[in-house]
Amino acid sequence: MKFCCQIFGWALLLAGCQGPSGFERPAFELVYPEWNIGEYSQATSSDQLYTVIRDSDAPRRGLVRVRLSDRRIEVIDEEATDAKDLIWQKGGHLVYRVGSRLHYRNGREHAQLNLEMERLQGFHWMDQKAQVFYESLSGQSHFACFSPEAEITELASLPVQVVASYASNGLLYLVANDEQGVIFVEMPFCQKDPIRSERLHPAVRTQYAWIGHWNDKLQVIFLNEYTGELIHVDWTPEIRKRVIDGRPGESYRGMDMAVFQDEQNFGLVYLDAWRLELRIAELKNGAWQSQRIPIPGALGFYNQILELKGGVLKASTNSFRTQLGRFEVSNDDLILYYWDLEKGILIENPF
Amino acid sequence: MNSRLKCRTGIATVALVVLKAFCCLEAANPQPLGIIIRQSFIDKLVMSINEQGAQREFSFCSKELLGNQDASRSSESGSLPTLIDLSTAEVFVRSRIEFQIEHATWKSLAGEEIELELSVQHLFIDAELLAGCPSSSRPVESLTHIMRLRIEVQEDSSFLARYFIHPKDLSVRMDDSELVGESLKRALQIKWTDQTGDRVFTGSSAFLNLDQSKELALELAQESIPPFISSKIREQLRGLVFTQSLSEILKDHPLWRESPLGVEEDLFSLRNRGARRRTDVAFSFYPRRSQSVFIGRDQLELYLNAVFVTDQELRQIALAEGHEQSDTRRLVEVLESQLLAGEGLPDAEFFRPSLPRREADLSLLISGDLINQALVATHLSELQEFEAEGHLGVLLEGVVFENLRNLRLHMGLGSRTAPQLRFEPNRLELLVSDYFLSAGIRIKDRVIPTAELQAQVRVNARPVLGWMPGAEGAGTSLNLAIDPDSFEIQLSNQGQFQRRFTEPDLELFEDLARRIWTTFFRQNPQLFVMLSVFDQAPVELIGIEVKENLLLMHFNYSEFNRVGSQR
Repeated sequence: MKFCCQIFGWALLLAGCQGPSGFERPAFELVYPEWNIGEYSQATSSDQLYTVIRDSDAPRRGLVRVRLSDRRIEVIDEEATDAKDLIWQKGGHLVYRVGSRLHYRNGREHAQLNLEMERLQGFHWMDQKAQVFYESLSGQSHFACFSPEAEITELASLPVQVVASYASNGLLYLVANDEQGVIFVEMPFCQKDPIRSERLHPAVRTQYAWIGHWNDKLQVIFLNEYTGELIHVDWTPEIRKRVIDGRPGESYRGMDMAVFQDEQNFGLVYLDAWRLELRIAELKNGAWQSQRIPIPGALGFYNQILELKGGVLKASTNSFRTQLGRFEVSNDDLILYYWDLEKGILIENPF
Repeated sequence: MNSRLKCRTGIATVALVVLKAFCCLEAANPQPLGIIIRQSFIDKLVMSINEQGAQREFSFCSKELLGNQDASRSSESGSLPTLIDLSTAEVFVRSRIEFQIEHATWKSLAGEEIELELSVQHLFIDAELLAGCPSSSRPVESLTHIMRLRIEVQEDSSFLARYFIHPKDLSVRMDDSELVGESLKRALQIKWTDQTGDRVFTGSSAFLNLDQSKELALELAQESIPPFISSKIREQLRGLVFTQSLSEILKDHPLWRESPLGVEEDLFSLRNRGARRRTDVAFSFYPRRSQSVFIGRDQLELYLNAVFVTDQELRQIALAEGHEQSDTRRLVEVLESQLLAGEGLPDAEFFRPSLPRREADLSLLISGDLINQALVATHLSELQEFEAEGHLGVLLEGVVFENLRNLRLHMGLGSRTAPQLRFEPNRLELLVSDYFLSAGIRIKDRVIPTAELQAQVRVNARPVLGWMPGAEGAGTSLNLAIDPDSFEIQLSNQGQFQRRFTEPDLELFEDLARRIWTTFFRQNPQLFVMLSVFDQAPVELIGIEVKENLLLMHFNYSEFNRVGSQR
């Protein structure tokens, strides 16, 4: 049989058959490596996150809350082994999708809405009301607002596809795709008509984006799907675009981004999707610098920031394959790691 | 640390996905659609009308008729007021009309109307005159019988009736000129009977003289026969104004059902996730405002406009008329009412083609641009949703390590470019070309594009008539029958991503795509193109011609083929 280079290459990458020859394991921790865990993680504090355990033979499975310090697992929804698109908001509000239904939880409250969703794209909580953005089975983007009792108060379709959203002072800031490219939209909570919109990038699309404030300024980061570049947008006051990482057509960097920030630091961890590696980028002295986080394997999915303290980042990621030794691998792991921002290295738990 | 491999079937997959849209629906761009009618069709339609029983029940009250009378005509004829005058009370006329048409032919164009001449061999009117007019408190059954009037064409006689058909709405009106009236009157004989039916008056009665009776017969024929003929033509040709959303038309089509469509083979499986229609599209045809009818030596050419309109365009059209609607069904109704009023959409650019002489009863002329519009509108959404899984472990048997035996190659076969029909001399070729597929890895819940492929696909197609069962507005449809054995695919590296597939990679993809599509087309050999203008008409496709950028489909009206064979 002829050698199929690309296809065979992917198989090797996924299988981990090109393991490092001189293997030295860096500092990182696996949380319950015997189970498939870590998909759709949502950190709620420096020590806790929601995720899903799908293994049929796992003693505890479904939607779970993991306390990382003592590895305590609390099953939140045993039946939700197929839960996806988890989003948590302060105040203990959690939404997730099972099939095409939306589940809302807060403590013992549990409500379900049959919104016929294909994908949940955003969730915000304000004034005793929730607003979700989602793509329906028909491919149309919508938002729905509902009470904790799952009473829908507003439901509307949107002319744009919402990718990322951020709530502040009663307003929502969105990154979305429309027919002309990537767009920024500002709209009131639970209202359909936008206050303003601005073109961020014409003639491209994105499915991975972040929007939020840093340094009292609105910031947007998105993956340009057409070039594979990770782009940072801010207003100075004109729109300014900068490439964070990647070269057009030569890499595909920026899926599963998780942004960290404090007064000094602004950056993100993300997936290098072609190499299946975890990367980190930081804005230093007005310029973006990026590097690989050297955890070996095929990983970098569902990244979460748990804590940023004293220049050390505590974060989690999920792997397809984790290389534990030269001939030792594990798959579908929740990985916990600590990154020294100053030195740019993985370190043991300093906290 | 105790670790174990947790590779599972289907976790990691490699995908081909569409990255870019290279084609989209253009703004509503009407195209001409021609119906070529030949004398044999008219003959068979007449036969059909005669055999299905050309009879109508028709009743009216004298005061209603008087109210509906055109003032000038009433005073001119002077007969019907006489009827009213004679009956001091109101008179209710309950009648049954039967007629047999001997021959019909179009003569010429009278202005914009088609002049149709009928030779009527048999006309029988049985009218019962009752005293008074019915009301809610006074049912017809309680009215007193006055007289019975029987009017029929004399033996060995016939009369000519001229009708004018308006091509915009297929309405029919009878020529009510003196000449036609006299011809009718000459051919008729009148019989009056009393309540018992014993007494027979020939010629005149106590109420109406002969001329007045014949005038009444003419009036009855004018009021009843044209709507009957008009409705018969409308039944067969969808009334010439038709608008319906494709999601309604196709809701029962296998490719548009929500349930996945599956093909399972040793080497691969194929499924359609169910169309995720971002844009609904309405198919519409409507009469031309000018250059709509041409009468040739042996054929009548009727040209319509046909177009596919997106729901955004529907909304704009409705908004321009002051309707703010979002529901597609309502928007479609708004457009249809506008088209019925001769508004809404413009005429298609049009050059009358030179048509070859044919023996067929009917021909349908469809422009290539319209077919390609149809393919874009109909198959764009569903094509985006095809996914195939190649069983990589089997494909790479003996090459891949044991833990990847179950690895599957996942290919999103969807295309945002609809197939286009290429008009080759005397044949049609379905061509999917110059579009890009992006090949990548499907891992967890996402697809990572890595390389772009340019695909060229060719497959021979043959237009056939199909049937859309169950759906609202269902009926005869124009389909493309695909010849799976003619399927050809050629892939090449393209696009901005720098990663490249090797020749063996491409051959593997090509082989897999060929197997998948050949299997798919064997199981689903027909692609829906559009609803036919013929609704319930029993037409039989007898031939197809490809002429430059035109498709000519020839039909015989199959219900009365014996008429055709006798000629």
